[in-house]
Amino acid sequence: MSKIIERKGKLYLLTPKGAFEIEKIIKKEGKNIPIVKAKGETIEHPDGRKSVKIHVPILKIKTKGGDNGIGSL
Amino acid sequence: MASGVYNRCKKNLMTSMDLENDTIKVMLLDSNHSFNVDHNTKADIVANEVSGSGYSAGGQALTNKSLTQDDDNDKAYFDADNPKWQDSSITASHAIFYDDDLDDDDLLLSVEFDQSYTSTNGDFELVLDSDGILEVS
Repeated sequence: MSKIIERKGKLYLLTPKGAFEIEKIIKKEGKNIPIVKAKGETIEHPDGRKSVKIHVPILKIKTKGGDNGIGSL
Repeated sequence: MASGVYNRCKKNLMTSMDLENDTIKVMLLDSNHSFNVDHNTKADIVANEVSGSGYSAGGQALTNKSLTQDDDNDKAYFDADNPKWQDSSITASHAIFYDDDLDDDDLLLSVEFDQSYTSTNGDFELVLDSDGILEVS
């Protein structure tokens, strides 16, 4: 289960996989949809090389039944 | 819930896209790109592809792809190993996943980074969520 928290004026989507900073929240069908960007880190090696790790959150497609049909995306 | 989508259907949705057997590639784009949900094929976005040592045009193919049906949580997942450009010198702001086996290289998913990141003769790695790249629920 994920939830939105506020820390030092910034919003984060807190999930079992970690916290992701929320860029903005949009309203869709009456629900708050957080827009999340992938955060990265730069590792500077002693020999001057730089490596990058981008932490990519899982993208989700939700299906639902009811008014929109048996199953809609 | 009286009506809904079976988990098998969620998995088969991704199976029919043949994510498991097609060559799925991930490419990196620079900060001139902006996500547009109406983009359809690689041709729509390729103008902003990055270049640099350790990076080949078109990106790289995902390895060890898998589809999983999770009956406990009523979800299906698509996963693969973390893509990594070793010993690279590139600057990127977006990662785009696409199906390289389709005639027009249809787009699948877009991931925007919180800023541009630069590798210098080092690794540029996408650390995928432990559950995978895509979840259907």
